[in-house]
Amino acid sequence: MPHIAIRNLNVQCGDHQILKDVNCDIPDGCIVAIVGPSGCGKTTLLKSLNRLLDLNEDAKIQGQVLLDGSDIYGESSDVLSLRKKVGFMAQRPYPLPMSIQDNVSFGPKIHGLPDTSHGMVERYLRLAGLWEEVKDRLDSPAAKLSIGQQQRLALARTLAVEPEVILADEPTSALDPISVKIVEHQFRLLKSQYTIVLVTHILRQARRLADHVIFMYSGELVEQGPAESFFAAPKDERTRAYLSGEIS
Amino acid sequence: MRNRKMKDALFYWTMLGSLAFILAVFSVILIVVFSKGFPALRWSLIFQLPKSGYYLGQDGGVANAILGTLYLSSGAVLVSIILALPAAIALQKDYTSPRFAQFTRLILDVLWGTPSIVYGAIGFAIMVYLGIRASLLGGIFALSLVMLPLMIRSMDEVIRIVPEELRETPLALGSTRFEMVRAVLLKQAFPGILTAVLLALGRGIGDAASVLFTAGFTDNLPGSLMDPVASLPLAVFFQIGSPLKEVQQRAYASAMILLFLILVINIVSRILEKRFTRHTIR
Ligand SMILES: Nc1ncnc2c1ncn2[C@@H]1O[C@H](COP(=O)(O)OP(=O)(O)OP(=O)(O)O)[C@@H](O)[C@H]1O
Ligand SMILES: [Mg+2]
Repeated sequence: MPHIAIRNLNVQCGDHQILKDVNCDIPDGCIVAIVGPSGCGKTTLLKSLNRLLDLNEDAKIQGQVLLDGSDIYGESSDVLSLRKKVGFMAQRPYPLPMSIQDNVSFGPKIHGLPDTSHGMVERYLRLAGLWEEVKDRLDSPAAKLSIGQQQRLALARTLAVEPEVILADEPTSALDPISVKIVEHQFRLLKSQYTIVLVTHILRQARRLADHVIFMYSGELVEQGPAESFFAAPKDERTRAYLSGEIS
Repeated sequence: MRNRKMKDALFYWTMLGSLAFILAVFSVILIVVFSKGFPALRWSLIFQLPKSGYYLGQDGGVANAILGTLYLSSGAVLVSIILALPAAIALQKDYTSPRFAQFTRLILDVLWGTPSIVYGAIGFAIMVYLGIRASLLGGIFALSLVMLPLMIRSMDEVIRIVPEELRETPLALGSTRFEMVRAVLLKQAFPGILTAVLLALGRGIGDAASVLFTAGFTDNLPGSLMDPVASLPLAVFFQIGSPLKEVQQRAYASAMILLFLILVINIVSRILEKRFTRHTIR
């Protein structure tokens, strides 16, 4: 059974159909990359997976998203525990208006996790490759961090709630090449324990990281498949055009 | 090219001109208040209650009005904050449909402009119905009515501008709306919330009409919430109408005291603000 199964998902905002009948299976323990030109609905698809889309009051959502077989939009689904299970990292990182340390322990505290200690904070900051830079100023405001550091803080904060799935919207867009390497490396290490879905603009990043690729084009899921065959032998005309850089 | 620079210069001088004009007008007002009030300003004015015949030029001071105003405005600010903060949060799109919120905002904006004598009269009518006479309690009630629309709307505006993505951050981690409000909205909007309180206080503290019927006026200090209480705006009002020059001067001196109170409150809150904005996301 796939970890997440998307069935006939349609999302509409006003009269704008943002997602058109999306169907796909997201397997466990691997990295899934969503690629596609700007505005094709990547963020919307990602947000539909932990019901962040619900916050947009004009978004009409139809279809099913099955997590371990049960519909997250179903009657009995609990949004809070869903979002704990399925973490989301936004395209632009926003620190919470509190200290670096409190940013990491915020999630564990609200969910009543047993460990909210300093050691836990250190563990996740290390995992996100941020520890060395902030270990001497854990109490200072997170707002003072650079954008790249904020992005890694967001990763640490997301990991700290112990999710099963990590949704990451262009998690390296604000990072310098060295930090990109660190974060990509972390994702590779994490993938055995998590299901990771990441949106990326950078095809080379998808090539480096992804086990499975989804290609979106103007709200449609055009093509999906294992990374090797996706890049080596794309089936759809539009995928080929995108891979060769004709549409971007 | 030259045209663009000229436009820029024109804009610059227009801005500076309006600012200078405003400063000039208000300086004149301040100078009048100070020059008329200063001769009457002495410690006894601040620390003594009015003695008999005070309004005819005898000895005494306006301590009753100073303390009364502090009681009235701090009570009303407290009541207003307790009601306005939840109300302002309720207007956010996390809690209410935007259409209903927009409608409520319109109503509040209209109420904000309502003459405060109307609130005083309505407050008085309600008090008569309940059998409460002019008192500190009544004054606090009427003054809260004056402050509330302004306070709710200014809090609402500063909470509304907290970026959408910042609200999403804790929610994406699985927080409830309440946890999001506490962790993000209140912290992020704190300086603005403080400003909202100050704006409302500024509207209320100098208001004479709302307390005229509801708080009454007395030469003594209130012993309980049910006793009448004096206030500085009314003290100014009663003294300024006097034909005696001395008493008129005391009116201006009382106004100076009111201005000074507002100044102190503002300075204190600026200092407070600095301490609470360490973590604000810019
Ligand atoms: N709240 C909204 N209301 C109306 N339309 C929206 C809303 N949010 C997004 N859209 C539209 O939905 C489409 C998909 O947006 P989305 O953010 O998912 O694109 P994206 O693939 O993530 O783009 P990018 O790569 O630039 O981040 C866009 O055309 C966008 O304008
Ligand atoms: Mg996007």
